[in-house]
Amino acid sequence: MIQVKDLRKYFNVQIGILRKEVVRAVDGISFHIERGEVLGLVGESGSGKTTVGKCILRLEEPTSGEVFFNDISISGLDEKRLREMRRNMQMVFQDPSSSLDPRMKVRDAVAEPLRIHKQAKGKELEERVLSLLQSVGLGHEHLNRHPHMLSGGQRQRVVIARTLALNPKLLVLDEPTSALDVSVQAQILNLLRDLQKRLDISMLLISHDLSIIRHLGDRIAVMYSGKIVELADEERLFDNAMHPYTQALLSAIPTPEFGPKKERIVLRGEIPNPINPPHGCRFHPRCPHAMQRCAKEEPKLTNIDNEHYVACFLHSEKSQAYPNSPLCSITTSAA
Amino acid sequence: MKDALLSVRNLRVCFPTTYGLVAALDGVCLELEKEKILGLVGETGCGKTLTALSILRLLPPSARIVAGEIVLRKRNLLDLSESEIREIRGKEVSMVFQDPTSYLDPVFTVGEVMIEVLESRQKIGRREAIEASIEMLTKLRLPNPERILRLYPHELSGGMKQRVMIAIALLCHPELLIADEPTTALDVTIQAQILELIRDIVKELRTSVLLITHNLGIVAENCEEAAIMYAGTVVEHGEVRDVLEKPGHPYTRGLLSATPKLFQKKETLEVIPGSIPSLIDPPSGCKFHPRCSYAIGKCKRERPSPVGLEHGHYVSCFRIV
Repeated sequence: MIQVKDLRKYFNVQIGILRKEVVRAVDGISFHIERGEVLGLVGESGSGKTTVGKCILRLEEPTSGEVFFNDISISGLDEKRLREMRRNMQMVFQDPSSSLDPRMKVRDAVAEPLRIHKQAKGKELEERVLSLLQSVGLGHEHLNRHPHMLSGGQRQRVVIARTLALNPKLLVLDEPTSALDVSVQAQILNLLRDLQKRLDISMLLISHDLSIIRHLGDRIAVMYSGKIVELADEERLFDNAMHPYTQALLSAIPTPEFGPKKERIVLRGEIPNPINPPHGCRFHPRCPHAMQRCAKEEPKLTNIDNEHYVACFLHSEKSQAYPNSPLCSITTSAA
Repeated sequence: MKDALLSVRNLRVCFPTTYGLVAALDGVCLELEKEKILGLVGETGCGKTLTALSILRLLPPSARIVAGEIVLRKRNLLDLSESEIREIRGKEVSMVFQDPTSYLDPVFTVGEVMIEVLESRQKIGRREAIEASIEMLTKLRLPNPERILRLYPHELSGGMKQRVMIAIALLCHPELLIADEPTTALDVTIQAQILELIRDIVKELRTSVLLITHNLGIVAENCEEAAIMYAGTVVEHGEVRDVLEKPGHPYTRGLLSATPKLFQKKETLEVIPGSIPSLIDPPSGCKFHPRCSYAIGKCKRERPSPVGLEHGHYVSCFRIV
């Protein structure tokens, strides 16, 4: 339903008076989301995941690449047709307080999209608003409240109700629970799962937290420094993570499960500067398996096994696959 | 407990508001043994940070400590004069905060701050202070420490700033380090680095740590003991595996089952019904009773006191499961 092809987004930033640099926030990524599917996009800060979400809705104009929604290219649409199109796609942001107008009552906030798109008015509008609120677990008593009278979790529910007003086909959720406490987060995650099942919506779930992504996602894409490094269905990714970065990410997440001791991989170094990312594979300076080739060439995202995509030389050619060796010696076949 | 370094007993802290005196901490009890890492866990507003600030006597001026005592090596910190507590801050107890950016003064270099701390606290000369600073930065695995001393905070990344903060906190080899959400502002892979570092360095310096976090996973992987807070009280306290594998308090159980797991996938997460109570009008009896599925009449009327289970595992609940 959604097809993203070689999407790139570069930002120009001014450094000092005369120097201009290019930040490559998103640097050539492709993926698709099927109808009723949840794609999880995981990555650390600065990996470009939010930019991907915004480019899909054209809240940011992509530098190059295309986004197709039901085979219609979004990139070529004019203002008016884009607005029509956006009815089908909605976004939920991280901080619910800044997504709601503090002077608007819940009733008006939820009714606004219906009014703008002339979907309902009068009594029908009232009914629609109430049923939307009920679908996210709120009720009558919340209609006349202002955002400051709601808790964080309730605010996020209002935001979700508002995005559902126009029956979208795609929801882009950008860190929907990271401003919330664990017990409230669980409520919102359950709500999203119910809504997704009931309304058969496709979702792009953006988060830095793999455990949340695992809870909701059908397939998971892992981003690092503007690129997708691994893409697979949820089970496969957790059982058999192949990219060294995914493996490190999985081991770095603290979990209150004791069980068999998981392998702890602590990465050295920091996330690369997107203005001047490392040559070759962007992960190579921190990678425990880096080879000489990794510094020179950039690995492509390749289908290794049944829709499991990995961008890593360790796996790209069968002859060079060393999935379990702790440290790879330098290979001679390169160059 | 035989080797208690710090014990907080029945601490009650109130704030005057337009609605009257509000008890933000309502009888907090904690024990921290020497050279142990204690994880203090709870959701927003349960009083984790306030407990930490009380230990250092850094509470906001409107706060009133109404009852309780905080004993650090047989001295009640609440009885000390302002100049005595200043001697303790930084030297015996020091603290690392959540957001390193707002605690590092932007107009001083890392070196200036570190040297000032050492000169004022340990009465040593400048040359020795520089050497000690470099040694500490090296312990925190910061590359090229001589250069770091000359840098301003804005020239450091988030992870590096937090390492510098930890270095400053540990400069005078305190016996107790309070780390308040030290990795919440950082990315997961950087968080793993910092936590590993804290674990290693406190073993080396034989420092005890009070690690405040909202993340049960961090506690499971880094702490030896855990204390769970709810609405200004500690509801469960014990060895980490006991608390997280055999939780006795319904709130601890609820918190654990509401956390999405990495290795077992569940269709729906179990949810604790209701929300955190208001401090202005707290529930009677056990503060968790309105949200608790095990609650009986007694829970509404009386406040449960800690019941001891095996090896120092305490649970404040009438209905321990």
